[in-house]
Parts: sequence; structure tokens; C-alpha cells
Amino acid sequence: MPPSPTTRAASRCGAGLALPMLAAATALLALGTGARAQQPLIRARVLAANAPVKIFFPTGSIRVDAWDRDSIEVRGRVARGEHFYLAGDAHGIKLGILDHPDGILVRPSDIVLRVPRASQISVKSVSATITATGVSGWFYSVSGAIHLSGRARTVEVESLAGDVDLGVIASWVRARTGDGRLVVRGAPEDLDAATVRGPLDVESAGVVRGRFASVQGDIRFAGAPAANGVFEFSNHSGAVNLVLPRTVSATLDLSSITGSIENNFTQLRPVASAPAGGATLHLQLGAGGPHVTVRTFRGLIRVGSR
Amino acid sequence: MTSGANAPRSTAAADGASMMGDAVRLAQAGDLRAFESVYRAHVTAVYALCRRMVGDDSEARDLVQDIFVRAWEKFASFRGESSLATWLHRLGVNVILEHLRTSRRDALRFADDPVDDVPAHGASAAERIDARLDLDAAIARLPSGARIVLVLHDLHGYSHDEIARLTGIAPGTSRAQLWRARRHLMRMLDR
Amino acid sequence: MTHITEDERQGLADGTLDADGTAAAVAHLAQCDACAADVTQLRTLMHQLHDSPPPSSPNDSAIEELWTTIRARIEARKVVELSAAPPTHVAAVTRSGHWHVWRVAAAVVAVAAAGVVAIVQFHSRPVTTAAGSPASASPAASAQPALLQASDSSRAYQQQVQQLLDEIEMQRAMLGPTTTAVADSDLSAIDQAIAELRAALLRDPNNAALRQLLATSYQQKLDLLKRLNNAS
Repeated sequence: MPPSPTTRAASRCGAGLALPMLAAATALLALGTGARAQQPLIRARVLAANAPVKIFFPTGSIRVDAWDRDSIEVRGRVARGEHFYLAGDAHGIKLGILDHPDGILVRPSDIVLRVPRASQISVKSVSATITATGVSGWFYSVSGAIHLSGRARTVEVESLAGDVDLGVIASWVRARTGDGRLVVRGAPEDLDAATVRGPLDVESAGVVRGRFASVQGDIRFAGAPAANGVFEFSNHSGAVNLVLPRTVSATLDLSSITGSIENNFTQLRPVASAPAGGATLHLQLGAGGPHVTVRTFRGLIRVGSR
Repeated sequence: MTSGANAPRSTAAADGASMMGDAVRLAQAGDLRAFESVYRAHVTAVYALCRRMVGDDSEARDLVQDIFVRAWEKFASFRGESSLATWLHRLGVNVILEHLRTSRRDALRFADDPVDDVPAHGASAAERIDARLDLDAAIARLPSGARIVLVLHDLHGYSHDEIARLTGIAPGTSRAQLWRARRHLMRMLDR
Repeated sequence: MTHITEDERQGLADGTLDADGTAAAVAHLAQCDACAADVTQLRTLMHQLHDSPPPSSPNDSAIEELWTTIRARIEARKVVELSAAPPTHVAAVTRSGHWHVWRVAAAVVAVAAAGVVAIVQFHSRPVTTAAGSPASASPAASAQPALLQASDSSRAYQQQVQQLLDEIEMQRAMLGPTTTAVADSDLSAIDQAIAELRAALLRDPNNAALRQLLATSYQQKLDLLKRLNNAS
């Protein structure tokens, strides 16, 4: 947390004091203002196992963890002057920090939630860091980072500019960010991931159906495509790098409209396509199996082994 | 009786107009602008059907969309044996019932509407006054199963056998639902 | 006194009771005021139902809004039929009734995408079916009206997109400057990609990879507009 104005003022005033006294005074002031800046929060409610939980949390940090109880628990510290709300009943709950209608920026709060494992979560944030483990649902942030992990049913993540880090095991995952870095680990079975200008980095062995897209960000996929997998990569000017196990079996169809293709996997050279000057390459690796399609407009396509 | 034959009276005349006939032919050939004129000629009747069947404006509008999208997809199957209004009406009833069957809330209520679950009893005084003033508001407050049978039978002239075929309930159940619906309405309208 | 049954009351009221039953029931009503009053009330209700006007129609703007969505859904389905692109547009255009302006913009972008992809698909068809055959005698000729229609449709939607994006401009105050800057840069990147892809398609209309890339770019724009909509 950055130092408060009070803290900075104290530091300036203390310039002529002995160093230990200055340090002690500064620490006391910082503690004092810190305690006043946030107020403790603890709430708990009964909640049905699969109830929806809708959260609006503009800024600060929010952590959501699944637990095996039919209740919700909220702990944390709410910024002074901000209003925490929790409404609803056992069939569904809304909670969060109220926005200021006059446009004044909301000060950051920090909370930790525990929710039933089967509940359906919806988190909307402006700049808060969202961290969730073992829960399913929709996670949205304008610019804050989103980190998800654990086992979930379905996960949808959307951000305009925030970094997204997904380490989930789930049957369906959809992730979008604009400028942020999108990293997918874990084992999402059905994965649809896209950025606009941010890099997209996928390192996973569990994807069966994958669609990856960017406009300007580089896409990197490292892993072994599942036996019956279908993968589609699209990029406009960013690169697509496929890093595959040396023993992989897959069919690859690669085409770049005006860009080039580097095949570091086999001796086969791409075919130049007139008149735009692009290239295409069809690769049958091993016994075939999963099908990988890569298309770029002018981005480089590179295939290599680990 | 012909299902829904008396339903879209207001738009039936439009079917005969050669202009609409041309629009239908063009729409069947894939002309979306011609289909738009079909939509404009029939949207009021289709909305009225939806509004009464589901009792909710927002849900009714969603269903209007579904019905016209379905109509576009199925338009080639319209052979002119019935009026376009009747064809749309039948299609609309099917889309609405399909929607209600897949909607858990309504599906549950369709089979076993509790007789004593009369909304008017639980409604506020203001709502009871509104219901007296507005028959449609009272119909909207009926349990969904009773409402569907009442709308199809009393407003659109379907027989209990036809309702049974469409909804999957027994003709006797349809009859019982109708009686309940009328009694609920009478109570809500303070008769 | 034994009263007539519910079946008989309702049947009398709506005229579905058979002749014998009707005669017996009418005879009873002549002697029983309670049953007679009940049947009268039922009949009144029947008349009221029969004579009731239809529920008030949606207003003109609601009818327009409904049609916009219906058209978008229909156009989106057309894309699925015409191209090999994944059916993402279908999922993108929802039937939600009251849209925020960005939602409408998003839907219109989807439709514009549909129109362009449809055009591309038509362009990709051979102009002649056999060497030397005049175009007018080929199956492609039958696609011409549809091609023109799709072109018209696309132009109209592009205009609407511009109009709606202008409206979005007015709502920028709801977002922070950083957010709008990021959104502008991202939109600009996508629009530039779309422009390049369209120019390339004009030069190489049969290129399937280009068509897919264009469809993906439109989807990217749609996704971004939806995310922007969520930000406000």
C-alpha cells in the first residue's frame, strides 16, 4: 500500500530528528492511519450449495475460495468511508462495495470469501486483484489481475486490460483480455482464449478443444495436443509459436497470408503462396490424430519441439 | 374447429392482399426485407398471443423474437393451405409451449398447479384493484398451467383434445385446469 | 336440494354441455337461485373473455427494437449456413430485450460481420460453371440478388455501427481515461486488422484463410464491445 499523505508529512517533519526516533514515530503514525483507513469485516450466512453469489468489488483485492459447507463467510477489511453490502438469502446472495454515485473513486478494500464449492460466482471489478480457487463462474475486471486455480465446472474470464492467469481444471473455459497477458495452465478441456494486443501463453496438456486468437499479441502454445483434439489459432500481426513434444502425433495446417513459417520440427519447407508472398505448410507428425490449424495475416508461425 | 382460426382476426385480412402475398413469396425465397413486412403485419397478434400465454411482457417479447426467427427458418414449409396468420399462430403456440416445457419453473407448475394457490389471495390490495380493472392482469396472475389452457380454450377456441395433444396433459386435466382458471379469474375479478 | 355439478355449470356457461344435460340443468336453475347466479357469473366471464381486446401492443420503438434483434439473429444464422466459420455469431446475438447502447452496437457488429462474411462467401463462388458459359446462365447468377441484398445489408449495418459508436462517444465519461485509452487502442488495432483483411479479400476473394481471419476479427470486435459494455 502506498504511504498516506499523513505518513509522508510525518517523514518530512522528522528530517531533523534522530533516525531511531524518526523511524518509531513514522511506524506509529503509519499503524495509526492504517487502522483508521480500513475497518474489519466478518460476516457469515447460510447459503444453498449451488446458490448464485454476485459480487461487485471495484478495487483492492478479493479472494474467493471454495469450501465444502452450505454457507458463505466474508472476512477482510473495508476502506474507511466505503460501504460493504450483503443482501439476499440462502438461495442467492449479492455482496460487495457500493460505488459512489458522484463519481468519487472508491478506496481499496481487501476481502476473503469462502463459498460452497458448487455455487455459481459472478465477480465484477474495476481494478481489484481477483484470486479464486475451486469455484466456477464469471470473473470480470477492467484492469485488475485475475488469478484462478483449482477444479471448477466452467469458468469465464473477461478483462479489458488486466493480466489473466488460469491454472484451472475445468470442462469449459473462456478467457478474454485486451492488453493484459493471458496465461493458461492447468487442464481446461474446452478452451477459448483471446487477447487483442496482449500475449497469450498456453502451457497445458489437458486441452481437447482449443481456440486461440489475438490481433497483435504473440501466441505461444506449449504442450501435447490431446489424441482427438481440435485446435485453431488465429492471429493478425502477432506470432504463433507452437512448441510440441518431439514425439507428438498431430496434423498441422499452417498458413500465413503475408508472413512466414518456420518449421524447426521437420525438414519440410513451407510453400510460398503468390501473390501476397505468404506461405502454407501441411505437416503430418507421427500417426496424425489431433488437428491443429494456424492462420495469421502477417504474423510469423513457428513450429518447434521442446 | 380449426386451431386458432379465430385468433388473429385482425391480421387475417392482410393475408389476402396481393402485396402481402408477394412479400410472403419473396420472404420464402430468402428476402429479409420482405420478411420484415410480414413481421410488421403480424407482430401485434403474435405479441398478444405470447403476452397472454406467458403473462409477462419481457418474456413475451423474447418469445416474439423466437417465433419470428423460427418462422424465417420454417417459412419454406408454409404452403398457403391456411392463412399466414393461422400458420404463424400455430407455430407461435408450439414455440411458446416448447419454451414453457423447457422452462423448469413453468414445467413444474404446468403439471400440478395447486388449486388453492390463487394469487389474488396473496396479492396486495392495490394489486387486487388492478386486477379488477384489467382482465389481462388477472389472466397474467393465473398459475401458468391454468392460464395456458384458458387462453387456448376460451380465447382461441382450442378443444380439450387439441390442448391435450399440444401440451401432453390428459383432456380431463385440461378441462379441470380450465375450470380452475375460470374460478380463479372470477375470484380475482371479484365476481 | 341437490345442486348441479361443476361440470354442468361450466358446460352450461360455455355451451359444451350436451342437449339432455342442458335441459336438466336449465330446469334446475329455474328452481335454484344460487346455481343460477353462479352460472350467470360464469357466462359473464365468458362474454368478457370473448369480447376482451388484445393486450396493448408494444410501442413503435419496441417493435423496431424487436425487429433489429430478430434480423440480427437471422443474419447470424445465415453465416453458419454459408460459411465454414464456427457458429460463434449465433451465440453472440442474444434475445435480450432492453439493450444498452453498447449491446446494440455489439449485435450490429455481429450482423455486419454476418453480412460481410456472406458477401465473401458469395464472392468465392465461381462466376461460371463451365468454361465459356455466360455468368447469367450459371447457378451463381441466382446468387446475385442475394449478393446484392447482403451488400445492401452490410452497408446499412456499417452505417448503424458508426452511428452507435458515435453514441458510445457520449458515454465515455462513465469510464476512466486509462480504460478509454486502452479500449481505443484495442478497437483501433482490430479495425486496422479488419481493414487489411478486407483489402486483401478484394485481391484474393477465394482465400478461405482470409475469410476465417476476417470472421475472427469481427468476433474480436464484438467481444471487445461487450467487455466495454460491462465496464460502464
